[in-house]
Amino acid sequence: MTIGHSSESPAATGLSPSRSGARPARTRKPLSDNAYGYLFLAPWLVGLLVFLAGPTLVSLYLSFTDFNLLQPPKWVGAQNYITLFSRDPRYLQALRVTFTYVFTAAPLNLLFALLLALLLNTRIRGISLYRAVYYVPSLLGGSVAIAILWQQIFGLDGVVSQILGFFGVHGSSWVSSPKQALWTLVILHVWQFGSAMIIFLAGLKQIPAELYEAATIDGAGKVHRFWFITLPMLTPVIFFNLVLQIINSFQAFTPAFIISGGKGGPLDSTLFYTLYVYIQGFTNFRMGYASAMGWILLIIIGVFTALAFLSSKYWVHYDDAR
Amino acid sequence: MATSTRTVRVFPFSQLLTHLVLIVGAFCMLYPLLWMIGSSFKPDSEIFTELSPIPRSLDLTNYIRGWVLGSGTSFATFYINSFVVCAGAIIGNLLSCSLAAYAFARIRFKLRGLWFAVMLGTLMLPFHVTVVPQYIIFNALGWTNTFLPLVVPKFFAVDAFFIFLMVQFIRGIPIELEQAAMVDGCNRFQIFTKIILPLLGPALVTTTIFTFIWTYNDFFSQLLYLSTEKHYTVSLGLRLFLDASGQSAWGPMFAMTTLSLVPVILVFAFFQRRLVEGIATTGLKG
Amino acid sequence: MAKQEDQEMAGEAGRLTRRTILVGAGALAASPLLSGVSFAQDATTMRLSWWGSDDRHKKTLALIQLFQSKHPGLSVTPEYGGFVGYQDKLSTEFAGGNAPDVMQVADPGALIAAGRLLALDDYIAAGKIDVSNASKSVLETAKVGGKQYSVPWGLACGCYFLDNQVFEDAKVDIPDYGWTWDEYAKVAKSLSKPGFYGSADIWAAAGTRALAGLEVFLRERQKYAFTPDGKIGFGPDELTEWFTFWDELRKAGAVPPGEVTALETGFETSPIITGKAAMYPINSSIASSLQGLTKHKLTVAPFPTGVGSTALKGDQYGAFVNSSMQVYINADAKDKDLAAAFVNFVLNDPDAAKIQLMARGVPASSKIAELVTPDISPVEQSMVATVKYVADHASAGFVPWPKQGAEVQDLMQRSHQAVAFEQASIADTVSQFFDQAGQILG
Repeated sequence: MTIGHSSESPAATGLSPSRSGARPARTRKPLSDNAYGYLFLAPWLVGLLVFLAGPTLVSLYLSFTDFNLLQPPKWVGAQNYITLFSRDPRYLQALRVTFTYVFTAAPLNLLFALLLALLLNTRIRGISLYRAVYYVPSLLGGSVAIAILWQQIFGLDGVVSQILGFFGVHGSSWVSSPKQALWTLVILHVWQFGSAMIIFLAGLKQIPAELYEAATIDGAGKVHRFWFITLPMLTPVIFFNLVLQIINSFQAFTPAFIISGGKGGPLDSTLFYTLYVYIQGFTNFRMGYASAMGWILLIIIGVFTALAFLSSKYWVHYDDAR
Repeated sequence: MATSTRTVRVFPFSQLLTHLVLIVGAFCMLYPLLWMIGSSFKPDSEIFTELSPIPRSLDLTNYIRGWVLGSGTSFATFYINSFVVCAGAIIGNLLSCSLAAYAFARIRFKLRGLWFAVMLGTLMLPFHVTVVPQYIIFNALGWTNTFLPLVVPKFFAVDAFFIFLMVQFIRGIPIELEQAAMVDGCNRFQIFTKIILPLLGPALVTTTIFTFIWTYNDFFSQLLYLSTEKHYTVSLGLRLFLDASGQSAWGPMFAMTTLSLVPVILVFAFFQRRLVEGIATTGLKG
Repeated sequence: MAKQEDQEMAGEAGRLTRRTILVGAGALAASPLLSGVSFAQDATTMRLSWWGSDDRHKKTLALIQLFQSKHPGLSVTPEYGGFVGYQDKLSTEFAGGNAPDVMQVADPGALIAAGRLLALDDYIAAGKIDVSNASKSVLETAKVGGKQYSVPWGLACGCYFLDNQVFEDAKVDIPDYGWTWDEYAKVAKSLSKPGFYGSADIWAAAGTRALAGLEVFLRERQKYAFTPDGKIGFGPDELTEWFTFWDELRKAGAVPPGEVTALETGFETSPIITGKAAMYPINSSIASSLQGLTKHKLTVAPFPTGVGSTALKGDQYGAFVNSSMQVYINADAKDKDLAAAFVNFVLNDPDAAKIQLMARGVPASSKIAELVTPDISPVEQSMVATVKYVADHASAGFVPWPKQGAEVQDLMQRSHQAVAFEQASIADTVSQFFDQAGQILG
């Protein structure tokens, strides 16, 4: 798919020195939108061609082979794809775990991020400090400390067990129980809402202050301003965060990797999709099989992203809408 | 106390409440950090046996043991390497992603929709299935054990995340500004540098913060491409302490992990101020 | 230096021309992925790669210094890091045709099966690698298909770590090295009290020991985990007996329930460290690190022996010594003689041993081990004594794991979990294990 149009990229690069070197002259006919488009896109197109397209196409090819990383791949047709759905209960488990995670962790994360962004967009004392503090969990992301800490909070004598015990719920060790381990990872993801929050904050900052001023002069109240200015103006950023959450939570890897010690346990209860891709590809040396899984994930994410884009026509407000 | 603002009028009581909520929340956010800082002062024999975050004494041994490794290399080398890689990645992302984003957001060119879908598609394939072919490319270019595989691709906008981010922000900038500039005879490059970039502040700041933090914390690609200690970055340096099959040095690991957060927090604190200023002070002519 | 690299970087970026693009696009077609070609390396350099922590890095760098001083003009490039990701990087380097010359390997099965590691038999026969002082039974554990692919870079055995403090407080005697499984169960029960367990379970969430205990148990019954042709080497009866043994201990409160065992993500969070158990089964090589994490005195004991209460010796002694770390040579190493010389150096050089001490477990050469024993800590002495006891009693037989061995071990771990979390009966778990193991082993 990239081959067909790759010829446009060198052409665009070729234009670059001659045109941009010359002084813009009004008499000269301006470049067409097409030329400008590909000119601006040139670095990305080169990057796509050199660094991304090859590995992507190779992984597609590998998904139809038996490839152990060390010997030449052997073509097996659709066998990997058939095995995945017919003979691999762990794969189905990985799908279950991942979908549960995506549909809980992603919306909760967005909700918290938005609420905190709104809260931290007020001008109160120490706002910079608060922002930094609320971003800290996201900084700790893949650190070993998280794994140990999560045990301390959700483990046998952990804070959560103690609090629940106080209310008469005598529970167990959440983080290491097959029934609850996944929920502790959902909580971990919600807790690390910092990145989405920053993007929301940036979005809030981009809303022109004049809009609020005008509305205030017109006598609009707080709630009114929120519904009719803040929220609509923020929709492109909400949309962005939504798409990113879909993509990132389907690909969640690090939390399960560090907290389950890389195995997705106990009893595969935290076997995230990409963790299983990693286990098959690198631990079990089945890169062909892992690639097939990767491409199915691409399709799954692609469908959900497409749905988000289709829906965006109805609720996302762009200033450049014509 | 009652600092009323331009945008939101806040009464002292509700402000107090806001503070209260924020402080309780902050404690939940900070607990792990406090625990890690506490552990960094404990001897190995107490880290896992005594889970209270408060150390018995402020013993700096772990910091001293951790800073200079047995090989004689110090963390100073790792910090310099991390900063070089981060700086390269930030510059690369800012330049290349903003160019691509402008094209996607504002210019109507042929196959725009297709390329945009391809761009998003590059985010959707799990990293682990493309990493081996990618390694083969960089190895063929002779770039292994250099910083090049970690930096050069950023100059070619391989982080589609940031392109998409900037597209969304550019689309939030009123198009009238651009149309006015076009009438004045500005070409696309002039519009891009004189109008879009200055107004893209919040997105550029966000890109800077995220690129720094993600590059700084990234482990797997740095592990793959950097092989000798003089090239090691902070995130690789931190793993030098841990060996699941034998001797591990937990105290120094926690000490250096704590220390490694300082630059990230500083970068964040510095740039988030820019986030505050953002467009609000730029002024817009409606 | 940093500045220089910065410029180099910027320069490269600026020079990215159509040629580079072609190289990039063409690289995949010409890659070893398809052709198996590897890239030539400079003859006067040798790349050496290992994992470890600061202590081992320091000692290995000193080893390299010593080795270089014996080979003027040689420059060894050390490539080292922590354990996490080490094997992934190595696999990627092999896939890219850019692997080190000499290296530690965590999971060599697939590399050996693919012919990417060098068989050392010719070098041993030619006297370039002297194995005369190394234990025959340990050398046996590093053979695959009758060929010697590595020599041990340190010895270890599966063992129990004992928290002496708990034994003392409960007035229970530290068991003899020759203890039986029945005695083990008795000790575990007598040390238990509410919320505290005599022993950790035989599996762990992230551990790699799910097969180690079973192997000992099987060898006592003249069986092995795998057959020489790479199938499962035992039947449902043995596995049922094994699961039942642990299930009874679990129900008696002598080993922890599943959710406590699953808390262990590494030995640092093991129940012996978090104060939940008094005995802990794992590989002996972590001795000094484990001791470093607790103030209680630890000693080492071999795995229990015998069938039931009868201690068995000779051919029926189940515990065995293996190499805690092995050194391998890349089949494409530029200078194989030099690599072999390095292997011989780490195995036999007394000065090298003095530098290494226990950084990779007990030295593989018995002469060398005696030489360094006075220089080590109490827990390491206890480890050395245990390894020696096991080596003296172990029978010679060993069947190497097939390349999917680690995958079967993971399956065994999940099977243990199914029983411990009461997700399936022992009978169902056993039959599922054999089904899925059959699928993995093809």
